[in-house]
Amino acid sequence: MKLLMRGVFWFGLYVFLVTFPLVVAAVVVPRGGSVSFLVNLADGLGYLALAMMALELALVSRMDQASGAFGQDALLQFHRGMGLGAVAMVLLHPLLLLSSRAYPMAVLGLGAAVPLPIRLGTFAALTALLLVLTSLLRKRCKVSYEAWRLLHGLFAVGILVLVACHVFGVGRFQAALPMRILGIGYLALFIGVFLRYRLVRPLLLWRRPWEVVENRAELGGARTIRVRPVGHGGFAFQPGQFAWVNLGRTPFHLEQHPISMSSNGDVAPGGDLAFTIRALGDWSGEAVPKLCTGQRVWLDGPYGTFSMDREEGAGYVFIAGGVGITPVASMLETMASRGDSRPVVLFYGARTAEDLTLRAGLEALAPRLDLKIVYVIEHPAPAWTGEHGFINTDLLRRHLPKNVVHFQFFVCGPPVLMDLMEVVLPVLGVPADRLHAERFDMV
Amino acid sequence: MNHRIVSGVISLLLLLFVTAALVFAVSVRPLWLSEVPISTRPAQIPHEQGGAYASCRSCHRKGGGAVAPPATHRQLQSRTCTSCHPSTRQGT
Repeated sequence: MKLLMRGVFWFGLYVFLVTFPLVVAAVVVPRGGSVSFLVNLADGLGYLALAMMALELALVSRMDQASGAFGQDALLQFHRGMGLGAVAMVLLHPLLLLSSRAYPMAVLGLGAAVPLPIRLGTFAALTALLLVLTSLLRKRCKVSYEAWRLLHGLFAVGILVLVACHVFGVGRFQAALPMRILGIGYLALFIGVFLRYRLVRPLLLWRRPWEVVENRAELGGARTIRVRPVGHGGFAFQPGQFAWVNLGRTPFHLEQHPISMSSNGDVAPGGDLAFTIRALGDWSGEAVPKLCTGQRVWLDGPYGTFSMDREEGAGYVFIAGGVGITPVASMLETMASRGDSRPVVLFYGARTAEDLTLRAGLEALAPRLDLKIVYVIEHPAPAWTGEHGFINTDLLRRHLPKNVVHFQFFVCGPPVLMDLMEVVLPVLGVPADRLHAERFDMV
Repeated sequence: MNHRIVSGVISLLLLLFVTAALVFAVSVRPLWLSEVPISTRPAQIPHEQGGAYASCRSCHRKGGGAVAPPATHRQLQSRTCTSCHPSTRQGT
């Protein structure tokens, strides 16, 4: 209930902050305002877009209270969706102004005859378009995540500065003092969030270094990195949560990756944490295997809502694909250490039996739990006697217990598995509030 | 959180925001496109632009004797006026 209230509060605050400039503008309509419906609609969309863009960074700036209510992956999806919506509004703004016949087409030109604030608005719209295109085409164009992230941040700050100059220069409602104060307030909010995210948080993390104590190979081209806090108590976490792992010389290093802890969540102060990372790119395939014992790393966490500790149930069904097994391994190890006797069914899909990362550890936990493991191999060897193919409705029906409606379901894996389970599980009678998913391809 | 639920929330919220913008546009000045008078187009300049009329701001300002420009034009230079406001005379 507390979590629900927290979610309602943050959601309500977001809606309020986005729509508040419209309310103020409607109250303090300045003299000289337009009589055209289309001009006012364009202005309304412009103000909504400005507020949404000012709040975009807040959505992904790892604010514990908000991310704890929704989950970081949900917030990132929300960030993407609202960002696209804001850019659509930015592009609609000049189109509506032109179609109102109040402005000639020439105002879209970038020549010296067009007033500077209007040209800055055009630059902002073009930059917003570039920001969206670079985000949508990043993987296709094989741009590294770090380079894209830097570019994304620069574009975002640039757009806000350009839009602010545009609004303060030609915004008809900015003639009213309350609107000017409001505009400055939103910019101050953005700057505050930016400084907290890029300066204050890394500074705090700098005082809490971690060191690598083990780096071992696992099945499926994965590595388990065990780290220990240096000079501080580390942190406990809810099994299934993740932390941002930074291998740079300082916490200010831009390259950070969200990685689920694969170890017991009930860690004593000063205790070790483990991360199991599969080689999927430059960072995980080259930097992680080279990590040496004693090397400094920086952890920002814990984050995430994907945890059995948040969802009371008569039993649990875990559905994992590939490296999505890591948060599930953490939950199972924690249940075993607690002596939890509730029934658990684990569906674990992989390409081959050699890709079943953490398999030995899972099977070692089985005698300590009421655990049934169903491996599903896509390309099995001839000697494989277990399930093969993909995790689907028939397979789930065969292995799920009868009282499954009282269980909690956790799904973690590649997008195709997640999309399928979000369709299949409700068909099997799993209520939406008992289905929990985490997408680990969030960046 | 369920991916489909988040997608649904995003769609609903964007719909809500667009509705808010429509309500705002209607409530601020409820004139629809068909009712928009011709005067919403940039006004034409009825005089020559050279000589004593070279600087728009010398007359078009508060207390300048001619129609004061709207708030949105307060930072615009005289040379940009003709980019939107056409002249009715082929003045010098």
